[in-house]
Amino acid sequence: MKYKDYYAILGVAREASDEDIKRAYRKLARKYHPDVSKEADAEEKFKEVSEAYETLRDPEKRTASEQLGRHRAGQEFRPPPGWAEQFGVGGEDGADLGDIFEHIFGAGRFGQGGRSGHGRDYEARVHLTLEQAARGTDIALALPGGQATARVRVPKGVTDGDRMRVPGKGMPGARGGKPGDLYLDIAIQPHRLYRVSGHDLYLDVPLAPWEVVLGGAVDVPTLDGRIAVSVPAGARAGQKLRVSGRGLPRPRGGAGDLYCVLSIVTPAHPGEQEKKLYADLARASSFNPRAHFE
Amino acid sequence: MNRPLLRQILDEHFEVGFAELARYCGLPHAHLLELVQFGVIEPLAASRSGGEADWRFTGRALALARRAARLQSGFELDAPALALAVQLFERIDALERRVRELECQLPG
Repeated sequence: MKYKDYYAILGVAREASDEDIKRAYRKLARKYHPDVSKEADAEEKFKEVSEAYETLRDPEKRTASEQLGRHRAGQEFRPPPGWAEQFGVGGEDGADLGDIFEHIFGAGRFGQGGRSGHGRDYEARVHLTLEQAARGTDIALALPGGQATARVRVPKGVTDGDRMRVPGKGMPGARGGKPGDLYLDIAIQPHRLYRVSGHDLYLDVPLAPWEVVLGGAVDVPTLDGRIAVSVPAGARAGQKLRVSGRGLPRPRGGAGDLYCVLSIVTPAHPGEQEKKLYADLARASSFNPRAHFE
Repeated sequence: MNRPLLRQILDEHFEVGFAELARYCGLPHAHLLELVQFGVIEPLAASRSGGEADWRFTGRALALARRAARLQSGFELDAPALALAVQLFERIDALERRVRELECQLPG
């Protein structure tokens, strides 16, 4: 199995006192706790730190870990003969040191302790494309330890920030125990066109100056193909046109809305003819957009 | 009551009793009870007048209780500190949601 140097993980010396260990853990917990940290690998780091703390704070576990001798972190090693057996478990290759401690001493405060053999709950964040969220999708999630893969159907209707509970799809149980539950935190990846707020979608719709002045029908893309949206004459930049029911579907039927956010754009390189027409327009118009400055 | 579903979205349609909530979130019973008493985790209005056995909670309450459990085990917080932390996190969540919502409305 792979050696884990719990002292190095917490950044404490081998002779560290209980108080040193607690202080080091608290500092790292503030840095990596998944509810607090914004760091990308916070979840993994926090698990490692918790496992180290769980082992070193408990005198019995600390002694057991010291009996393993010193190795490089990550190095393949065999526990001394009889080490695992004295606790009634096998120390086979490929086993995870943290799992063995858990088998020996039972789950700690982390996860679902107390229920004998019951697998732990597992929480994971899943990143879906907007299209996957709109139509529903199947995901396959590798559970840690390489023991199992959770296959889950994410139904249509979920959106960014939703949470799902999938009973029995968490970590496998030990000794015939039931598996834990899986909790999914749904995140929607940024989309090329749409911004997501709940089940509503926001789409920027750039308009040419004459489209804004004259109004008219404009083709816009939706999740189910293009539709014509009627832009009123005299529309303003930043104005939102609501298209009912064209947002993300809701889990129990119906759908959010699509908001077209209007903006006015001008040609970067107008032709001579265009410039002339604008010059004519400037002369012909009495419109003063800055009348309120007067 | 919920039928046993293969998957459940933790929204206002998801409902559990106090015992299930405690089992699903893994918080010690006394801690969870205190969070309810502090008003951090609220039973559904219709069930609030009854006792513990009558209380019903939504999926949102479960998500909140699980966060409380993570914070409790990670930082070894007592119930009043836990209640405060959970409340502040809820406020941050609400503010972040509002910022995202407003950002959506601005032409990108």
